[in-house]
Amino acid sequence: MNLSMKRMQAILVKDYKEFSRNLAVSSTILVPLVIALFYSRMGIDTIQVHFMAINMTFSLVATYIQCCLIAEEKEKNTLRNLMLSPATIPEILIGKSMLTFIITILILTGSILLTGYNPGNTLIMIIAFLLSSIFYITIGTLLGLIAKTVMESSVIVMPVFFLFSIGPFASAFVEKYPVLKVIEWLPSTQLINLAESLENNFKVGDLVQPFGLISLWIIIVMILTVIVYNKRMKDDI
Amino acid sequence: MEKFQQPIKIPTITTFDGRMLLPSFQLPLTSGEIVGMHLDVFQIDCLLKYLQHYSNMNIFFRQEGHYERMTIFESLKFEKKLYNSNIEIDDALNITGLLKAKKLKIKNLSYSQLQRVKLAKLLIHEKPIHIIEEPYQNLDIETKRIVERTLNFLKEKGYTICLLSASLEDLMISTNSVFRIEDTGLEKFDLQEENSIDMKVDKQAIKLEKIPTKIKDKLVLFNPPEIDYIESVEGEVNVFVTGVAYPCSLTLSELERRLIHFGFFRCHRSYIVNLQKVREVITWSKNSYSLVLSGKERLNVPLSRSKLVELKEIIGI
Repeated sequence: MNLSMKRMQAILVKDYKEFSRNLAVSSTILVPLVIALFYSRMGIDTIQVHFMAINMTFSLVATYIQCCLIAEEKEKNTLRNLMLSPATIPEILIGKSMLTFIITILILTGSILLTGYNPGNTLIMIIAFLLSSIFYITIGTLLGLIAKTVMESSVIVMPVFFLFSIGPFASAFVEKYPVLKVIEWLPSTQLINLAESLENNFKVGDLVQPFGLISLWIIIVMILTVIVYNKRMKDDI
Repeated sequence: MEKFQQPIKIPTITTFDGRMLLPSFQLPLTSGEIVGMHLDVFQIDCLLKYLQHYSNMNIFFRQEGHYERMTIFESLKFEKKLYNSNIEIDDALNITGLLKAKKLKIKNLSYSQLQRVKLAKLLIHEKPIHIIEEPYQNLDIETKRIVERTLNFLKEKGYTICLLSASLEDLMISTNSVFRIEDTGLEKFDLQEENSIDMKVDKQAIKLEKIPTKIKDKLVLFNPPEIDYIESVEGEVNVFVTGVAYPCSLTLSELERRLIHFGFFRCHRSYIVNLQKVREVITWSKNSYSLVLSGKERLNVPLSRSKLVELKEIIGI
């Protein structure tokens, strides 16, 4: 497939200008930083708490901002122009994800520095973070295509926030409610499990499950996103 | 710039309840020319929905989205990169008269200025065919002039332009080849400059078989068979063709005299009807009747009691 860097870069620059001038959305990126700051000052130093801030960055920055960016294009009726332009579907989707990806990485680095989290194996953790960002951004794209307005997107993101960021905490109640075992399969829980196994001596076999599951989530959400995009394309056009 | 090759054929478009909205026709496009199509709003919507799948067309929608927080210059730069265009942004701004406003944010622009921004985008898109929806609607005079100038600029560059509008006057600002939709397909309006007709009449004093109607400074001529009926309300005579009223300066009796040979009938003190189009005669009560015309709109024309006998004689019942 022939991707035009020039087009994707144009979309990135345009998104940056729109985003930085929209304070209502762009100020959200401060929330995970503030939370990270609180936790670091409270002096709690467990993996669970570190990942509270990290998972919150993912859902509030990656998913929410991506969702707003896409929903705004729809609300303002500009997505149609993009779809009718010579840009292809991958160019549009990648171009629209680039800004969120960059911001996510920046905020993630910021909150990790603030909480003082030091992973057992930095390289493996970075790869896991990158994969997770892709997953959360894709979910954001999917929700953005479903939401009709920016207003709606902040509501629609809430379930994702609770499920993926708060969800891992529910694993404390697994013994009482066996239904909650499902939480084990969430990408955010897998990320925490990965981090915990990295702290001790780990075998390569331990890495297979988290990476495999996160990748599986990415593939499922990507397929859904392309289906919804194509459907929107037929409806709107 | 690539030229378009194949003629574009539109299939019959029907509404969800099976009523025909647009008959099948071929888009009347010629390169380097502006053509107009006189359609109603709903027909325009359906046509555009169909046309936007063509990649060699650029469609100028009446309602189009903008990135409101960007300046004019920034959003044009974005379009330029997206379409990989070679047009200089300043040139496009110059043609559309936006050069001084280029640092303004889109959300602060007036409707007319927005329309100019869309026009500048259209210049940047560089597609061989431009389909433009309602180019002159709700614009200030300055912007109307700019639109006209830009369209001519595009025409001279050899682009194909098709204007869609519900207002015939708007179409006639830019072009003399205007089409309308009949049940069977496209029909061209017979437009002539008013002066040239006056001259002809003076010279030869021939009786025109066409019925002149007047819109602004243009005369629109109709062949009598095209006319559905003619109505006179408070001294104003309107000629109805496919449901649209065109004002006419002749009186009803003059029209009756001219049209009687074409199968027209004075069915009421203030109505003349084209008998070829009459489908039904409805009796409401002993004293009130009306004629229903063929065609999708099923237009109603009143028929007076005194004329009923006469009508029966003509039809032969």
